[in-house]
Amino acid sequence: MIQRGWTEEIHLPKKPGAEKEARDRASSFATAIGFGMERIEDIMTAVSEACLNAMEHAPSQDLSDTVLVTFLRDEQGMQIVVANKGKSFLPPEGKPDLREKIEGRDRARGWGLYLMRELADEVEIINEQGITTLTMKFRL
Amino acid sequence: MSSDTTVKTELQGSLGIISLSGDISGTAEEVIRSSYDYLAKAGATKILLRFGQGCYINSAGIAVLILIVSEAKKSKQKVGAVGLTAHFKKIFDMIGLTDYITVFDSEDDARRRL
Repeated sequence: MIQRGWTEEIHLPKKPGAEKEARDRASSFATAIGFGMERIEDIMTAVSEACLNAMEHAPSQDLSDTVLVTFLRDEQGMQIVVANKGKSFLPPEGKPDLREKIEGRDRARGWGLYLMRELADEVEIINEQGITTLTMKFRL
Repeated sequence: MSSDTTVKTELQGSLGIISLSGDISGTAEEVIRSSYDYLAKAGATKILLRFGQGCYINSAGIAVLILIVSEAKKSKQKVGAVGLTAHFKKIFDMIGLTDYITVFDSEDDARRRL
């Protein structure tokens, strides 16, 4: 069982498929805390989307530029913090309009933030001094 | 295409089946769209998305499916899905995709009712 205050960090390269490591690590961390399978799948999808957002909307030519993913056991469950250089693109708040997308009046993408907000208990995004930090909280 | 993504295409009468396995992400767009285009040109009036065990779909992959649904709607084709885990059924429902894609519990059911 992971104790409160325990943290783990991984650095992901900004390349397709790299978010899989974050998903796997999130699964292990959430399992060790005691989340049930359904919630673990929510957490895996949420962290995957957060990493995708960081990789795709703040790309970098600098090979040493990575996405930092931190997993933290807190009083109420766990937090996942995804941080990267650059300003990640964030669509407007609220649920995207699927009908608009199906009928070709809007681009098909843009679901990541919506999914994060639906699957996590809290989501906070901060853009400060060239760094974007996205924090998601999941309560047990 | 991601090295983890596999797409297979089958035409059985008027039913076109797109079998997907691995990670379904934006990198699979070209191959999934090619699969759909082949089936559409071959005259499929029904499209079944068959998700393999262990399939993972991210939001970029969902966008690819939205593009397929968009094309199918223009062509008046029905779209079904089988093999989705409970988690992804929930995601499809959350997004509203289940208004456009009928999710079946089994392939037999899909063949009977699509």
